[in-house]
Formats: sequence, C-alpha cells, structure tokens
Amino acid sequence: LISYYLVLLAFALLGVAISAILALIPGLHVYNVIGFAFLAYLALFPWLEDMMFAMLLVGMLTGFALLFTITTVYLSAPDDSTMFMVMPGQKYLLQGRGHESVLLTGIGSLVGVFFLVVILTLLQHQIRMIREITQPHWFWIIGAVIVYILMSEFPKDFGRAKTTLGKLKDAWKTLMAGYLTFVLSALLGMLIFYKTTMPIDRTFQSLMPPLVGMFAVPNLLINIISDMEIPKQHISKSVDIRPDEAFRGGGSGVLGGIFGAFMPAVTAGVAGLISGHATAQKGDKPFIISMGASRMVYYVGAVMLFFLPGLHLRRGAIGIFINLFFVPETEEQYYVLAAAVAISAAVAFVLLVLLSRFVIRILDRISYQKMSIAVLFVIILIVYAMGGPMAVLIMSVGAAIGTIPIVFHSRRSNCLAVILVPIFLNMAGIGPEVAAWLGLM
Amino acid sequence: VNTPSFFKKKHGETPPPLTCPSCGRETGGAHLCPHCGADTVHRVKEKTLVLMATFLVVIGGLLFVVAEMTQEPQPRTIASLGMDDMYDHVRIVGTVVSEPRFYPEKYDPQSGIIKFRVNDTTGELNVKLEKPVTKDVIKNNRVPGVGDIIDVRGTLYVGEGWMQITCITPEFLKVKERDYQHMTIKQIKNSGRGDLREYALVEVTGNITDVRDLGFAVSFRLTDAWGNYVTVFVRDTIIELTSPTGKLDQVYNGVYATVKGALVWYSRYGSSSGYWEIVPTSAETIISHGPPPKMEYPHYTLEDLMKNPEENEGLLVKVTDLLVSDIQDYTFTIYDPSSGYNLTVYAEYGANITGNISIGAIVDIQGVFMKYYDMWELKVRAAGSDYILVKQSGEEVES
Repeated sequence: LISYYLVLLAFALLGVAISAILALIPGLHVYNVIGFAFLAYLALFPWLEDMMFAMLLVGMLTGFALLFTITTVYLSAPDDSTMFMVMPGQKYLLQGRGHESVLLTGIGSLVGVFFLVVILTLLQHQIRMIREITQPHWFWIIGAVIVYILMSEFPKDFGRAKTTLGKLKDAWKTLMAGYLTFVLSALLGMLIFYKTTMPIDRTFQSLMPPLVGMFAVPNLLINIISDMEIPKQHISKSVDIRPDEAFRGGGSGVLGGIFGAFMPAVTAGVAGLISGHATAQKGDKPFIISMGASRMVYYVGAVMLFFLPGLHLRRGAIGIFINLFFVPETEEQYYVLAAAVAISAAVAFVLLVLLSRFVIRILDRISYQKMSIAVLFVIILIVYAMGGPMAVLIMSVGAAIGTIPIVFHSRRSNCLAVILVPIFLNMAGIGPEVAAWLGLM
Repeated sequence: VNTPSFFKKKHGETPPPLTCPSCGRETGGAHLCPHCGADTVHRVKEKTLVLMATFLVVIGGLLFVVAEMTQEPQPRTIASLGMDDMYDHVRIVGTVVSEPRFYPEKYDPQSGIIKFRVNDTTGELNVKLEKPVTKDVIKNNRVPGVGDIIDVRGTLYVGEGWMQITCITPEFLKVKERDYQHMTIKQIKNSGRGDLREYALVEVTGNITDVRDLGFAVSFRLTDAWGNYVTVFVRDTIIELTSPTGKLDQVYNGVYATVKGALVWYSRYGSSSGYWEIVPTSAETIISHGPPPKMEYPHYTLEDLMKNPEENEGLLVKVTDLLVSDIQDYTFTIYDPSSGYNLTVYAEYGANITGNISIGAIVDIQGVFMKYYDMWELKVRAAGSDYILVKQSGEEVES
C-alpha cells in the first residue's frame, strides 16, 4: 500500500514538473494542457490506472496555481485569475522587487494550501451541510455576483471639467466603458456558448481564445507600445511582510477562492475580485497575498471539493475532466489527494523560488519590448494550434474588448461576463431564448 | 543585512541595513526604504518560507497515514444506516436476496446498471452497480446471484422508506466464494419452511423435466428416480447476464443435470402454504451431464412385487407379458393371469409409450414401483428409461 501511495505521489510530482515547464509559456492555461493530456491518456495510456492519471492532473494544477505567477509578474501575461495582480505586480517589478512580489504570491498560495489540507479536511461534514442549505439559493447568488461586478465600478470620478455636462461626461466615461465591456463580453460569451467556433475535437478549449485575448494580449500590447524598461531585479532573501498582513491577505484570499470553488459559474477571476476587494484598502502586500491564496484555493479547492466523499461538487474544468474517467468516492482517495496536494505545493513553492531567480537572470539580458513581442507571438501560435484561424479571430475580438478597460481605466473584471452571463442565463432557463433572440440558434 | 552578531547582542535587535533587502538600493540605514518603501527590518526570510513549505510535506505524510487508516472501512449493519449517513461511503456485508435486474446501456449491451437487494439479517437495502462494475462482473462472470454473500462499498442514498448503495468501483464489490451444500431432491421436497434456511446455497442433481418458457423466465423441474421433484426458476435476466450464448441451451427435457443455486421459499400471495424452489446462481451453474445414466431395471413378476410390496418400494422394475384388464381416467390396471395379481399403472405426461393401450392388450413395462396414498402402483415417468411397450393389441386377443 505504501508503494502504491508513493506511485500516486510520484505522478503528482511529475505533474508539478510538467507545470514548471508549461507555466513559463505565457498564455498557456493549465486547463488547455489538461484537455490535451486527457486526449493523450485515452489514446496512448488507457492501461494507466485512473487514480494515477488524476494525481498527475492534480499535480499539474497545484504546480500551475503557484508557478503561473512568474509569467504574470515578469511577462505581464495573466489569465483571468491573475489579472488583478498585474498592476501591483508591475509596480513591484518597476521597483526591482519582482522576486518579492512572486514570494508574496507564494505566501498566499501556502496559506491557501494550509486551509485546504487542514481546515477543509476538518470541516468535511459541515461543507456537505452548507451545500444542502445553499443549493436552492445559488441562482440568485450568481445574479448578485453579476450586480456586484457592475456596481463595483462605482464611485469613479476623475472629472475636472468646468461645465455640468463636462462633469457628467467625466463621471460616466469610465462607468460606461465598464458596462460596454460587460455587454460586449456577454455577447462574445453567448456566441461561444451557442456556436461551434472550435474544431469539433477541441470544443473543450472554446473558452481559451477569448480569455487569452481579454486578459493576456492587452497587457502585452501595452508593453510593446509603451516600450517599458524593466529595471534590474533584486533577488531578495527576505520579504517585507507582517504576520497580520499575511493573515489578512491569506484569509480574504481563502474566502474568495472557496466561494469561487463552491459556487457554480463563479470563476477564478470573480474569486480574485472578491478577495481583492476585501484587501484593496490595506495596501499591495495583503492584496498580492490574497490573489495567491484565492487562486490556489479556487483551482485546487475545486478538485478537493470534487474528491470530498459524499459531496461530489464538480466545479471547474478539472472536475469535469476527471469525472470523464474517474469518480472519487472514498475517504482514502480524498486523503491521498490532500496529501499529494500538500507535498506538491511544497515542491512547487521551492520551484517557484528557483524559477523566479532563473527568469530574473534572463530578464537582464533581453529587452522587455522584444520579449513581449515574442510572448505575443507564442500566444498567437498556441491559439492557432488549438483552434485554427477562427480561434485567433475570437482571440482578437477578445483582445479588443479587453483593451477597453485599459484605455478607459475601468475594471477588467467586466470581461468575466464572457462566462458569467451565459451560465447565469442558462441556470435561469432563458439561455436558449436569449440565444435565439440574438440569432445564434 | 550583514550585521555583526555582537551588535545584535548588544542592542537586542537587528539594526536597519544599509541597502534595501527588497530593491537592493542604498537606504542609508533607514527603517523604510526611501526608494520602494519596504520595511528593511521586520521581514520574513525566504528560508523561513521554504521551512513553512516543508511543513506541508509533514502534513502530507500525516494525511497519507490517515488515508491508510481509512483504506478499509468497517462494515456497517443496515439497521444502523439512516438519513444522517446520506452520501456517506459505507460498507455492508450481506446476502443477495433478489435476482439481479439488468438495465443495459443502449450502445454497449455488455455494460449498464445492475440492481439487487441485500439482506444482512438486520435489514434490507438496494445495491446498484454502476457501469464500470457491471462491465467487470459480466466480463469476469461474477454477477452476484441470489444467496451470494457480498461485501460491497459505495455511496449511500437514503429516501423515504428506501436505501441504496451505489457501487462504482469494481474492487469495492467482493463476492464470497460459494459453498454449495449437497442435498437430494427428496430432502428439499419433504422440508417445510422452517426446516431449511432461505437463500442457502445448495447443489441438487436430477433429470430435467417439464421445461416451460414463461416469457420472463424459464422454469423446469429437477426430478429424481422416484418422481420427487423440485422446481428450478431462472429469470431471463440471469440468462442474459450469465449465459455465454444468451440462452439456456443445456436445459431440455430428459437431460440429467446438476443445479447449483439458492433455496427460495415460494408461496402464492396471501397463501400460507408454499414450497422450496431453487434459483440458480447463474446460467452456468446449471450443469448438464447429458442423457440420464443408464438405469438397471431388474425383471420382476407381479407376484414378486405384490407379495411383499413394502420391501420393493422405490425399485426400478421391469414387468413383461401382462394383460391390460381395466382402463381408468389417468391410470390402467395390469393383470398377471398366472398369479392372479393386479397392479395399477400411472404414466406421466410425455412418458415413452409405444402402441395403443386397450383392454386385453399385452404389455411390457419399465418404471418405478411405489405407493400412491394407499395404493401400490407402477409409475412410468417421462424421464429416464421408463417405457410402456404394447406387444399385442387388445382386439387381436379378443379375436
């Protein structure tokens, strides 16, 4: 039995090693890789035990949740879950503190893992009870999240105009840009949900082009246009953080992340938004930590909730993928998963420190503008390889929508309507009617 | 950063370093870096963070130990399960008390869902085998049958008046090795409800007679040499799930066979009386031995038989050149003119009869000498080598 556990752990650590390589490729989300890994598993490794492949995916996910920070901080190529980190991340980067920013995110992730493997494990029975109580209310909670995203644009007033009309225009400019982003994202989401835009065998990747377009491409474009110079990065041996800041940031990140992992349709981006709002007034450090915790708890928490005996809460793509070939049901499987997550996270944290130092050494030698061009090229190549020219077109539309918040200083979280609105409409039972009204059916 | 240790000891705390630990620029010994605003004194070392991460490895190790401890959950009694255990992963050990029902997958008939009921003497619940388990049990020919003792683990679902364990992992269904107790047909036939344990696994041998296709099941009798029989009842589901050909090819009248299965008490709804029947474990536990073994029928005269009939009860006998003296509704009488003895003959439906039986005919008969209520009779069974041969018809004698 011990050797069996060690084999499972070896698969999880192999997943971490794979994610360490993949996390350095900007724009490549772990879910895209998992989709292809699943196809490869069915075709090439059908003899592999289901639990072993599940552990590989969990290792990849855990590693990715920690290591994707590097491309976000150093290359400004975030996904929806790290988009809020770009601003404080770049601030740290321009101060030569990129490594410290990475470590702060890592602290958040460690707090998240502690919560998952200790607190969540101790609260197994209560989680089931919470599900029973809240399930009938999920529909309106998602509606409230949408309202929250829209309302969070307020108050915004950069107005310095002298006339009433000018003040009105200034007051509403960013708000309207935010709402425009929301509406356009929602329309793009409806198009993707109701039209086949990807090749049939890769439809599970259909959300990738718009998400990459909305969150990764706009920053790269800005980096290329602005020709930003990255100062020499200092590899700090310590982090400026107080325990109360770590607790505050980690706590809010955990709450946002578990909310996202528990609720349907609430993605990592929304989880990050909620976590971020809880810490935004307390400075950059708790904010960055909360992002790390939220991200870890969202991604890995989703799979742990899926493995929780008697709960079978299938959230996030990882749950859907694993459920295609494996249905967890025993306490033993849950504890093995939790153990693998804990050890994988420890290994991934050490890799995070090492990879961050490695990237800093490369950064010194390459122009940030040229690197942004190269990253943009890689992203376009990956999207093309995933879905052909149509995927690149959708990514471009997503990039256009994602640029609006940057130009008008509105919230990028409005882009999350690409997922939220179609799912909300479907849960409300009016998705097909709206799609028909839009001429999509 | 490189503060001498004697300085630390003297002042009790680390003095601000001259360069910022965060951005690496000159601070001039300030607590807060004038360039990046970082606190240069109150900081957490990277090594401490790595140590915290290492602590996760310890937690992981402990979780592996907990996993090992929960690997094999203790069996629960059905009576102890209830609404509070909803969605729990539970393990029970009990006897299968209903024939499995099979709901095949539309596009994969070798897969689907199997359902049956299990009793552990404290209560009963449904067990549902999901596709992976169904596929495995069909492929490995271990579909649980009535009377099987199974050890099953799965998620518990509880509703108003019902409970169900859903098993989705093949390894979580274990069927205890079957131990069939050998019994004779006569033992079963002569036992009342309280004499035998229901769902006990038994092994019985006899001749197959009275095969009937009921549309949803096949029933037949297993008859011994003395005409005792026990009914064997095989649902189509059992045949579908466990027969390699999907049919009961080995079952037809006259075949000598061994049936291994569970004893089930059959009584009509509302009736207090009933009888034991056998539900085979699978189609493959009906084992055909081909034609019945050749039986010896020693020659007797009616005088030999009737002089001391109790001694001859149950014997297979052959009597020859006897006269048919009377014909009743279901029987006829044979007469031996030399000794003056009469004997009633009863031929089962389907018995091997050659020629027309009429009064005055001369016949040879092979059959079983037995007592029917108070009457002695020669029974000619449909199975075995029993027969009636009309050597000379009645009319010819009269002429």
